Amino acid sequence: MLRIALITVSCLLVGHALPAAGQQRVERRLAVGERTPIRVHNLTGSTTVRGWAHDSVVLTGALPAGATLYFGGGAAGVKGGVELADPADTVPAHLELRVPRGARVWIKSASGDITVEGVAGGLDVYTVSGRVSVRGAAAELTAESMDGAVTVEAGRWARVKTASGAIAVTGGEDVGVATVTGTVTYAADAFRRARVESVSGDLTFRGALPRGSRLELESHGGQVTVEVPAALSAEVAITTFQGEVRNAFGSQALRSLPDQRGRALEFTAGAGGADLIVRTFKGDVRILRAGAKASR
Amino acid sequence: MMNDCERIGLRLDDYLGGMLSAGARAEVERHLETCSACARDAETLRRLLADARALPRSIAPPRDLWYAIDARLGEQAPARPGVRFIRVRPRLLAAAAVVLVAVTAALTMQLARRPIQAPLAAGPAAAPRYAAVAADYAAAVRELEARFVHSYDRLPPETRAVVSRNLAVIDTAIAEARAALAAAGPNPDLETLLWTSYRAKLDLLGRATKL
Repeated sequence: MLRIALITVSCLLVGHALPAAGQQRVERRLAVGERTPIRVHNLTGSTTVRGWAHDSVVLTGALPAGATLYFGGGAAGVKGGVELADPADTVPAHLELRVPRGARVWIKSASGDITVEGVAGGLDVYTVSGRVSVRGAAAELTAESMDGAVTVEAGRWARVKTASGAIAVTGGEDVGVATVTGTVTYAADAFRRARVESVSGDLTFRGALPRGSRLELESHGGQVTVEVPAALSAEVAITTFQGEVRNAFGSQALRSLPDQRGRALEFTAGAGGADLIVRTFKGDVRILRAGAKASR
Repeated sequence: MMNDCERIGLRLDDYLGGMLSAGARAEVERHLETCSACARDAETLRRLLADARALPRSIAPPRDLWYAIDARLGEQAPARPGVRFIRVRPRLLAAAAVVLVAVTAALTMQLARRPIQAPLAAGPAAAPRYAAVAADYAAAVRELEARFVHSYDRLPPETRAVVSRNLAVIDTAIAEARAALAAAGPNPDLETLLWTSYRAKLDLLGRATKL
């Protein structure tokens, strides 16, 4: 009886260690430099990259049957990726990489999700319909997805773009965010310059405007919401053509500009010292005090 | 926490472009009177901007060359389902790269910065500038649309749907902004919104053609 149980457990353990039917497990290791550029190409599966405190790259993963892993390079640069036997193959490849924390990493996918944690060097991630998640602020970050949601912690410099994917950005010093129809939520209280724009997606900023900072929010048709502390200290300039403005800071009325130039609301909150600029064509604008209940 | 010099440095570009409010302008001027380093920076930037203004307004790639390269690239790479990378002669690739760099540089210099720096009040040169920039954008959009037509069939159906849906939203926004501009006349804020929509369209088309 004991022997049967042991055999059963052994079989289960072996089965767990093996890839799923039709998949092949891969593992590669390379010695690299602390700031080695690393390029990863995985069109259909998930790609996870984690920074670590070693000068080496370790790649593990599971590939669909017939797919080929290419992976090579050294301190000057590493390139890896998956080539599918059939480009129409829908079985995903899953790659997981450990890379030096200071590496500059470039990842491209089509339908796969991209997850990055703890890469402080530089990061360029592109996917078409996959989701992007970045934790641990890279010094320089570019993240783009056509349709997938993008969630990033920004570092010194960040640029994020989608067509219709929702975007959530936190932090950063110099931040640029653009979408067509996706929503954007930007939360920060120590940024220096940020520009957030959409064509029809709603934009939300939550946080504080540090002295000397400049925040621009612009949307043709999306609603713009700015949720800042009651102690806001900034020069505020709002322009809209057909949108409504709700302002929780003072009772200044929206004034019509001459020659059908729209309507504007300009005022200085507190001692000024920062710039908040909001511009919409027909999107409503709400300047709210943090903690106040918002309503559309 | 930024010091005064860092804070003023961030505003120099806008100051020299005449885009600061009266209060902010006075603050910058007060600082420049007392800080020789920032005054030197301002003078350097002023000279750079003057030099930049003296450059040709745009670097238009010869249209025939652009389309000829496009057509020749097509000849070199007969459509093969599933194969995304094409082999072209190095000289042809170099020519395409030069044109791409010229277009990108011209667009970047002439267009991308303008919306960010657009003054809040209309100046006397607003109308001609609007027409010129609108023409630049329209031409760039036409270029990319032509390329997009070639790559459209290669895209997965769901990606085509996303691109088409977003292009429709952008086109509506562009039409609305143009109609408002036609009714209101020169208007820097409306122009800024229009440029943003144009940029979104260029960006989306550019990304779609690269997929």
